[in-house]
Amino acid sequence: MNLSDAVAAFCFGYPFVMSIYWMAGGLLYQRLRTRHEPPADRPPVLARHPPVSILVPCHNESRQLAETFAALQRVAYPDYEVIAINDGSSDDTGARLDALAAHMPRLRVVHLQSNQGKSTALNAGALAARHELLACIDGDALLDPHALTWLVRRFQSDPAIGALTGNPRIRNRATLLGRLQVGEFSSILGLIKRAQTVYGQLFTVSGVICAFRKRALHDAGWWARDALTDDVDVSWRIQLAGWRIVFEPKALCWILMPETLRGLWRQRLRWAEGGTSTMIKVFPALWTPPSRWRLIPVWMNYVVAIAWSYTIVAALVARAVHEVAGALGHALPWAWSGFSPIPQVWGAVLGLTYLLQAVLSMAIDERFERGLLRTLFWIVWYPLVFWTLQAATAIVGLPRALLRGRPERATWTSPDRGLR
Amino acid sequence: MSNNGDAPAWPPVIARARAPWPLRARDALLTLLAWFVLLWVLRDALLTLLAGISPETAARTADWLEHRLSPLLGHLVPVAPSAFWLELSDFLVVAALFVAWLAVWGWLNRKQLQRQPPAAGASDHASPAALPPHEQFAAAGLDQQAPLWQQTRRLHVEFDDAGRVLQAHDDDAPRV
Repeated sequence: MNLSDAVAAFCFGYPFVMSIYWMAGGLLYQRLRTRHEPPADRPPVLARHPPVSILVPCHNESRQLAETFAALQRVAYPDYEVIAINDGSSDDTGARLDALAAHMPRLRVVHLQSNQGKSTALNAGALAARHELLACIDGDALLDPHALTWLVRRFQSDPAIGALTGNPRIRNRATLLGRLQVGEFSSILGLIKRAQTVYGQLFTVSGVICAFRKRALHDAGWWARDALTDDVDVSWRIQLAGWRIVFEPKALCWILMPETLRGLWRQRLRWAEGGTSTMIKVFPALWTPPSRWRLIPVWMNYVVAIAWSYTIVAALVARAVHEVAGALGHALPWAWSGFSPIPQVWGAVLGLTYLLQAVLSMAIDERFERGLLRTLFWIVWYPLVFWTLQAATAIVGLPRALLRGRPERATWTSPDRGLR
Repeated sequence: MSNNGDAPAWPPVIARARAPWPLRARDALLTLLAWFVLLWVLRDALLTLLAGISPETAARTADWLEHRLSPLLGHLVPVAPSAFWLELSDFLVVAALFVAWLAVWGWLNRKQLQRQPPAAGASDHASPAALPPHEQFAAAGLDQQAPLWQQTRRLHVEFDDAGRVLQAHDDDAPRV
């Protein structure tokens, strides 16, 4: 096999093999766990109800607070408190939280005088939290009434679990971008988390809905204030500290996602840069005793995904150069002509494999959200447009992560929350 | 705030109906167009896939499509299906190895995956000990401050430039 064939095999083979791997993971998870479990809307009564602290970091969330805290009042769990952390908001978030606290006995508010970033806000909230189990949601996320029960139940089932990731569901579906992400969260993220739970190591919890034992966070060194993606960073350190993380798909949380290309780009670029920074940061720890060698395949998958993005771009550039040189009558010093941007047979196989993955994942997720299969109509954009966006953010994210230099405190700006 | 006054309908999906109809119509039309573009781009490839399963059906479909949609599709030439399946088989073998690896881990982890919480009345000795507040506050460099942080309803926290907590005080307590 020459270089050209090897590159072609990699560009086709990586997403093809991984797609089959994620689908198998989803099916194995169904076989090994889901079929033994009750429906998400009918949780069993727990033998004990250990108290839980719900942390809600907020930065300029004034518009979302009423809904977020109304949903928190509907939580069907007997013993919980809510800690809202106002992270130096410049709008009236602080005043609104104080007003909510006056009428909501479970709610306490921590005001950070200046914007410190989500990690510091969560650390402050954890200090204020009275209980060992922490559930974390974003200031614009609506927690399902039974989510807390499912999270606690999973902690009770296994003392080795240090953290849990819940199942974020997209709320805003008014535009094409919103509906596209509905499919993405099922077909990509949902299957990946199921497969990684079967394997035993997760790439990350979802910061928008996750839960921790304080003991595990303490062993991991709490949230890192320089982490761009606090959830990825803390997930790796918790697993490096010897704790397990698993997916609890019945712990639902309804979230808002960007509905403009600019908002989506900024979000995905932050994810890519933050993920890459974490991979760089944790690399030495993977080899330091006690070795956490089972994390290495998860680490390698992330690195290979970045390499794949660069390879695709190199192939497209090579084709463009080849075509231009050919049109001008020049001979190039290399033989590799790259790929056409028009999919050929292998592109068709990839497209069809992805559609199969989408159908399978949505069939699995129908258990949690009736009518999900209807969003398949919109999924066509995923292989046409979304893969390009993902690859582009991976490509831009790598140099940004490498050139980031000295770690700084990662503060936040209010994201695009879609059409409402 | 009332208990349910601001509560959204459940599940709290913000539906298409909230978007203006021109936006909805545009999205639907563009998506239909995208499906046609995808199928058009993949026409030869799809026929090849079909030929790998049933050469006769692929040939009949190609004839039919050329006859009906000739100006759009041009001449349809499925590539040799045997070569296609031969090449794909290598990738399928690799995928099968990965799936086997995952299945082995699933089998090894099956007890963890199927574990249920202890029944009512069962002892809970397996739960890890809770983190004592003094350990957490010592790690944060805030010894002796647990009562202030954990009993205050409205806490105000100030930080220095390095992000360390300078001081925390109860917003409801009179400042000295």
